[in-house]
Amino acid sequence: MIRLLANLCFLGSFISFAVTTLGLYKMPDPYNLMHAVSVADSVGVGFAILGFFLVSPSWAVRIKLLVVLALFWIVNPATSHLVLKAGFVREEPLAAETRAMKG
Amino acid sequence: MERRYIALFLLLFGFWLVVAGEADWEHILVGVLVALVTVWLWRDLVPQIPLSCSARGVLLFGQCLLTLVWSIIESAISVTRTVLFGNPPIEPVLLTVRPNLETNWGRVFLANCITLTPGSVTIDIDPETGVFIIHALNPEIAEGLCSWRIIDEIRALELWGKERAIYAPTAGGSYSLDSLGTLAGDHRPDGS
Repeated sequence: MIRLLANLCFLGSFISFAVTTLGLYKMPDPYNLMHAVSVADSVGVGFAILGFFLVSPSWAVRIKLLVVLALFWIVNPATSHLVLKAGFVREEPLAAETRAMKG
Repeated sequence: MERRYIALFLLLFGFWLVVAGEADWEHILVGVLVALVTVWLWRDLVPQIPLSCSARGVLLFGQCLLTLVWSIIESAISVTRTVLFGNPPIEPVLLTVRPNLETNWGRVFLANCITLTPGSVTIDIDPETGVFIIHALNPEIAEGLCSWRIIDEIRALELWGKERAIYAPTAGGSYSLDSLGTLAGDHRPDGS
């Protein structure tokens, strides 16, 4: 049963990475590319680590996996932000259909 | 103050042991040395490390994490539908919004949550006004961000930290939760 759940997690991870790869070809500008990439970064990595967590032989490995996930979810948004901010500061053009909105 | 140094040392050393995976004398010696050097390098930040924690704080933080995980799943499905079927279509939005958050760490935490959620990325935060500039994949995601439940939950965490004043005062001023955050935009050449 646990192996089945782990395999479902790996399948989810695989689908997330596949969607990201497809998204790289479909998104119109670098800003939107980041949205496609974030599917793999957040969900793909999350599912992969959950799958490994389920089939891990010991709690030492499971704790290590949780630390990896925590670090990934802290570092990844920071780097994504920096990439986009660099593009924004360098006035990288936005897609033509982009519109401004106030919240 | 000394308790904070010891707490940080133990935290770093524990992290080293978890990552190293072995506890022979070589690993322990290297871990102790690296942890000591890191504590020395971070000596200015040590007074800002909280020593106390309460069940309520852990619950509030756990609530934030649950909301975040649920939002990540929801948004991932939405972005996947956009990539695979073009529905909802790609209609990028540059959103400016001012969430009701006062502390820098709260803003950084929210910015991280926004970027971690597929379909939205924080481009910048104005440290003076607390205005966020966010790029969203479509208006639906942008509108969802404006009324996102996690903003209220982070606000509750801010208030909890304020009530408890969990950071120790130091000579020459007091540290608060606010002093923990980075000042996004401080590097701007024009100071805007």
